[in-house]
Amino acid sequence: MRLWHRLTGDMTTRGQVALAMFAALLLAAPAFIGSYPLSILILVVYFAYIGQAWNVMMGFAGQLSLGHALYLGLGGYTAAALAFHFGVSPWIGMIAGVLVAMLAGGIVGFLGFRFSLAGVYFALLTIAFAEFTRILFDHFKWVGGSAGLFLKVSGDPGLWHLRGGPVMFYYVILAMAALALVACRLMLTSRLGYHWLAIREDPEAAQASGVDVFRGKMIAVLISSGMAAVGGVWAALLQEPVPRDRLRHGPLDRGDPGADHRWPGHSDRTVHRRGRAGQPGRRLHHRRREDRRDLRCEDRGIEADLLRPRAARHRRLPPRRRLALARAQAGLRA
Amino acid sequence: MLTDIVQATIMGLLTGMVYGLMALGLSVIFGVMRVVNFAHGEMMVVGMYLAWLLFERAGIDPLLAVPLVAAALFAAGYGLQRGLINPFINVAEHMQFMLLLALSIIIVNLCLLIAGPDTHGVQVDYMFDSYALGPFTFDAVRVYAALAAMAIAFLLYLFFTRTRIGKSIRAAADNHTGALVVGLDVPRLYALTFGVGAACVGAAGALMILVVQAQPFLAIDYTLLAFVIVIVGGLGSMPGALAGGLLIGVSESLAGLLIQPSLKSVFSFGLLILVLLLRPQGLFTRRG
Repeated sequence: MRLWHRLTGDMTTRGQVALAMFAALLLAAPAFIGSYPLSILILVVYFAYIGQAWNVMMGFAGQLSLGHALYLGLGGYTAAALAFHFGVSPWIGMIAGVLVAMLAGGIVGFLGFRFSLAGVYFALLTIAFAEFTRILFDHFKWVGGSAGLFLKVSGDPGLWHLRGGPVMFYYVILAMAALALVACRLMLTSRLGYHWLAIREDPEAAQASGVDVFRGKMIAVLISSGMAAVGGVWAALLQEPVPRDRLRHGPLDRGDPGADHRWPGHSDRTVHRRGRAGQPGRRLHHRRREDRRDLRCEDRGIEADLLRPRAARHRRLPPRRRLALARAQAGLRA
Repeated sequence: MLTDIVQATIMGLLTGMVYGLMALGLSVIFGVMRVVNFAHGEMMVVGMYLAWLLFERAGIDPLLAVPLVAAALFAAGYGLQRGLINPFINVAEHMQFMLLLALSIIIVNLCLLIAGPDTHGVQVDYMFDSYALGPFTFDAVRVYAALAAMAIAFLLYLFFTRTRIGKSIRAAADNHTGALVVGLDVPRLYALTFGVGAACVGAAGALMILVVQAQPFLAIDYTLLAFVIVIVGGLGSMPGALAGGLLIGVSESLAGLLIQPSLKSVFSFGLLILVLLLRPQGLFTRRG
């Protein structure tokens, strides 16, 4: 009963009923809606989950991280690379991914908090680490470099390998989001949660009244990065089975530029860059035209841009600049 | 090899001057209002697009378009500060960041909506010209862009030291309450400052279009680059921003030559991390 009270707080009975109905609707949704609305719903729940992870750090402990894509990407990459190279189940890879992301979060947090960076300085530190790592991953051949890591198609889809249709992924992310919600609520109403709130509201006053501010912030960044990593694993594995015939007669043939995206109906434009370092998750599965060949080979994957997706690789030296450069190097005088 | 290194350094210095002008805009806005403009690179890209548009539609050379673009960005910045940002000046920092981040996302996607994801460049007559000095060559476009950037930075210096408005802005930056007491219209000065900052970055954008092709996704890179430069040079310090621009320009250029072009930003971000941790006040400022 006390646990129930901690979960619901001062929510009215009407609110609880409404919440239960909402949960029931979410549970039943895949049976009633088409595949496109479902893909949107998957996104919605995914962002709810990622948002919750970020919320632990910013909302509870008041530390603005604009580099959460780092943890997301590290989690996804670790699990995907383990599955790719060693055939490890993503659920086991998830543990490794969470540990790697927590290590990264711990380093960023430790440096930031130890050197007492606050406000914009801390936010920039998080971006700097995310960017730094993203560029390194562009050159990290073991995970495919800038071309991305294309997961092999395994013969046995299923929950254990986290391979399956959108409905499975929907329920997985829904369960994750629900768990995260409950866990965050429990954390917030615990001793630790009150410490966080005190740190958020006034770190100096919190310190003065005996709250270990550094420890509180570190726990927040560790939990937050770990949660983000779980979301990253899910996002990296989120693929529907791509049977050959479907590709051949499927949306690709309609010439829809966004057709090979994970989300049916999204065009290149919308998925291109969903945001920036601050916002968790975007353009996870953007594939360029030349990558489609890989897709047809039934290979699927994630990209280096998971870390901070955007159109880095679209920026090539245009021919005229190349010419100018060549002329400049040859010392030509115009 | 040594020639190559010097050559790359020259290129880096020239580009770095334009970077410096861009970062100057950020530094002005932060130095006066303590507003961290997360939409800075986006404004730069808007400047690039405007210059491109003027070139495509009216045939105006980007160098001549600089005043027009700067004026447009000034008006936009002035209006933005008056209408949107002013209420956020005294709120918690993260709310300010969120506002400007949201603004930046809107700007990028508007650019995407209007101009599409393709790159747009200008083809000026002197595109392939270069000047030779001994064994070294100077790209004409880079030289012009760098000279113009320095001229604008000098104008800005004159504005802040010689004009009445510039001095009032500095007064408002030094002591907000004092400025109010002596009867300065601080909100108007803030709007002017934001306008000046936006004009700087717009001008930098118009110059940059000579060297780089415009594309919406450049914006985030430029925002981060501007932050790296400004933090390395010291947040709020104008000479620091210029020096930081040169430093980052040279470091990118040398990293591109000696290691790998795609790895060049690693050094900028590595430098940013080190400076943040060890010398958050910046490399070129004394105060701790």
